[in-house]
Amino acid sequence: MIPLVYYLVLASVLFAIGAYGVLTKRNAVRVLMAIEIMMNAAIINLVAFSVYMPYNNISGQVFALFAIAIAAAEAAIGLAIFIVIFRVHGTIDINEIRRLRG
Amino acid sequence: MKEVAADLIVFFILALVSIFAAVMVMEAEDIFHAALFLALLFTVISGVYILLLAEFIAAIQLLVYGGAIVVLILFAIVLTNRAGKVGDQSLKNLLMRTAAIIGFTALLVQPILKTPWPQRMIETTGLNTYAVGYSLFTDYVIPFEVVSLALLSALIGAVYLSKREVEA
Repeated sequence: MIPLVYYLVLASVLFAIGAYGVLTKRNAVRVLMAIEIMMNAAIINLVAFSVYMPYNNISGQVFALFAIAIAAAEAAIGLAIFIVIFRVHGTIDINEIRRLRG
Repeated sequence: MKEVAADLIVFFILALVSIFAAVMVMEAEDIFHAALFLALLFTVISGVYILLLAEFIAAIQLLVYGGAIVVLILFAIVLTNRAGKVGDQSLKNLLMRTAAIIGFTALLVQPILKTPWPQRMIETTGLNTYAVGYSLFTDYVIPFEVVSLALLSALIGAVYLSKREVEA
C-alpha cells in the first residue's frame, strides 16, 4: 500500500521542475514542454485524490480527462502560434520577441 | 530482512525515472532529445496511473500525451529552428539551479506533510473504465460537450493560424 503522500510529493517535484523550466528556458517550445510537465503533475494529484478520498471517488478522474483534453487544445494552439511567430520573426527565443512589450 | 511491498518498489522506480526524465527535458542540450525524454516522462506517468488503478486515465495518457502531444511538439521543433543559445553552464550556476528547484519543492511539500490524509486506497469493484464512462455521461454530460466544443474550436484555430497566407 503506497501512502497518498508519496504521490503528492512526486507531483510536487515534477511541478517544481516544470515551474523552473517556465521561468528560465528561452526556447518557447521548451517552455511549452515545461507547462505540459506542470499539467501532468496537477493531473497526478487529481487522480491520486480521486482514488484515496472516501467519497464520490470517480469525479477526480473525470476532471483529469477534461484537463487532458484542455492540455491537448492548449498544445495545439501554442505550437501553431510558435510556428507563426517563427515565420514572422525568424526565431522563437522568448527573449528576442519584443512585439508585445510596451 | 525487512519485507518491502512490491508496489512500493515499482512506485520508487517510476518516481525516479520520471524525475530523471523531467530534469533531462529541461537540461538536454538538443531540444529534440528533450522531446524524446518528454515522451519517456509521459509513458512513466501512465505507469503511475496504473499503480493508482486508474487504467482508463493511463490509456488516455499514453494516447493523448505520449502520442499526440509529443508528435505535435516534434513537428513544432522541426518547423522552427532547433539551435538555441545555451545558457551559463558553470558549476556555480548548476548548483544555484538545483538549489532553486529543491527549495521550491520543499516549499510545496511542507504543507503536504503537515496535513493528515486518508491512508487507505478505496477498493473499487468493477471496471474503472465503466465507472468513468458512467460518470462522464450522467453527471458531467454538459462539461463533456463543452470540452468537445473547446477542443474543436482550438483545433480549427490552430489550423487557421498555421496555414500559409495566400497572396491575393
